[in-house]
Amino acid sequence: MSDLLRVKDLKVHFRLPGDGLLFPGHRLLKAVDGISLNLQAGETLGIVGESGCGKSTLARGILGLAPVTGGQVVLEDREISRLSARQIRACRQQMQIVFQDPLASLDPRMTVSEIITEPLQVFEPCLTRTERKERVRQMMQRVGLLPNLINRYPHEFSGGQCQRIGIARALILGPKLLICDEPVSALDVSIQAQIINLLMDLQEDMGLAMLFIAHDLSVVKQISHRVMVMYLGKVVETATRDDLYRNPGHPYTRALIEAIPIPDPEIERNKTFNPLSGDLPSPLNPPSGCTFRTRCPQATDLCAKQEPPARDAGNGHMIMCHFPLR
Amino acid sequence: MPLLEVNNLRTVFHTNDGEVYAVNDLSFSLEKGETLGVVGESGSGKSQLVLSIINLLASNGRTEGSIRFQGQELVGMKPKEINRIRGDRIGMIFQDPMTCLNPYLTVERQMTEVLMLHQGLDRSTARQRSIEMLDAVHIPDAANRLKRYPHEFSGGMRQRVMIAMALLCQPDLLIADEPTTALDVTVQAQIIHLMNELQQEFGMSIIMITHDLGVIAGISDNVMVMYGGRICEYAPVFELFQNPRHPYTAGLLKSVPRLDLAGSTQLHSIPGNPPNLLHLPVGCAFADRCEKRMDICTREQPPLQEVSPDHFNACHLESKNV
Repeated sequence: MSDLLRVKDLKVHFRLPGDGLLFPGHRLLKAVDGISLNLQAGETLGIVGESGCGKSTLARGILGLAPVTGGQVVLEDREISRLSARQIRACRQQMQIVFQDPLASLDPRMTVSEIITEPLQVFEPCLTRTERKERVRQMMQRVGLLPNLINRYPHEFSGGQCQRIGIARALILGPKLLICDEPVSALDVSIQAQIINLLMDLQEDMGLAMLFIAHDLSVVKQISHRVMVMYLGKVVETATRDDLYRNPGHPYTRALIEAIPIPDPEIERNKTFNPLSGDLPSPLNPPSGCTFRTRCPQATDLCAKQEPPARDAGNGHMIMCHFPLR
Repeated sequence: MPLLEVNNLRTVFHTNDGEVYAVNDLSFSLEKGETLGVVGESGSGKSQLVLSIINLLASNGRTEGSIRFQGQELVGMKPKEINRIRGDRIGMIFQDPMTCLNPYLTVERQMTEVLMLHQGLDRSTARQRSIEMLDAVHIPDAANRLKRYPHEFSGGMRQRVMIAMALLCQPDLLIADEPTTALDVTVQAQIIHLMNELQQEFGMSIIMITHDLGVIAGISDNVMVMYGGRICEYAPVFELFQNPRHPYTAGLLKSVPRLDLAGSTQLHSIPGNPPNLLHLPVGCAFADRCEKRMDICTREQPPLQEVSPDHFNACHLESKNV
């Protein structure tokens, strides 16, 4: 099967004004630095990493919402990263996004029906009013919103329901690619499970390709087929879900997995591990060689000198580390 | 005598839409050196509970009932008196360290102020103690960092500064309201590790509020599950995780995606939404989301009863079983 989305060596670099002392002229912030991925219809790729690792910028770069400075984004055999604003607009019918903050991403002055109808008015203007209404009603039902709520405003809804509205708006045009940027991290645990289940159902019904961005590895494990781990704008490991969680190859992936508290006192209290020390280095001044080496427990001189090559551990399991774990 | 004893606490807010009952008839006690985990969804009243304890409610809120800390009644205490306890014998850490630190003042000013006010130290001794405390929370190069402003620290470092500030006067009780929610998992692990370490060193009691059941499992001795401003279950941590009796607790435990177990196709989810505190139902607040609802649940408030030693549950199913 051919890939629905192919991203090749994508770069999103931002030029920042210099500080006049150390960096006269300008500084370059490499938010996304050479990321490649591919995604098939019906597949979910989970993207994880700490805040500031560039996962949201990657999503925006793919959608054309952030300026791409290098590389390619190919959606259904069409290169879209160099299109004009007008041209890319037409492609958005095929790719949609659900954002993190459910309330902030809905216009507070529009009713639910107006919010969900708007994409139809833009992309399918020939529909009659009754046809539009029917489509909206069906979509609301599909995401679990009662039809009698159609004339309410976003502030009248809870976080979970607002997220359902956001999902309905994203899916009303029947896109092939859905990008979810931390869709459940603002929700309560019981509601989070509802939304994850809904997304999994919808994906199966509609054959969606999904990019699921989250910082919570347990949520990503639940929903993804493959997982990509990012650190400072680069990929450090990609693997199928089971490979990644059973045999993490990169020390960073292992540290992330070990840091998740397990909701079972027996296990959680007998866990022995050393949490990663320090914070994410500044992306303005990333470490030489392997960017993770400043926090890596097993870094050597080689790591400072040379950027690690991608190693294939079989079954598409790629590890960017000089000394992968075994 | 327990360190903290809360009896029939009720916290009410007067709003334009009517009275909001954030905390209702809540009683519990906390021993010296104990860590109590408080779990609940947004709007379950967990934050208002601790704000009531330290008397920091919004101006339209009022507290009824009794809160005794080291034998002293805190409800109705004059601001001057509570100011002497708050920050001295009770320390606090909040969710967002950026909004809790004053952006205009250096960390040194903010830390030394606490010691000079509460313990009457002079500036240089206070400075020395602040450096020691920053060392204790593992902030490298503490003497230099002291002169910095809050924005010069990363999120995890700021939370460490908050913890250091809360511990300056070696409080007997530390209240932590979602201290790691805004942080990355790697930093969260560092902070939890640090809190465990500091508790062993200083022996304070901790009230830890969080919605993360994994954090609760790692740090608490006892767990209190709140829903709709009430306790729905209270038990020692091992007992609660092995033998949850309230349908809400059981549902919550099942709806967390687990890293250590093989992923199932679907997560268990609790249908519906948390209740609106403005219109709390007459009966059990969880009734309309509960799988095991009976007729009595919508009519009567279930009493909190001891179902096995130290395990309390507020559910009509318990009465039925008896």
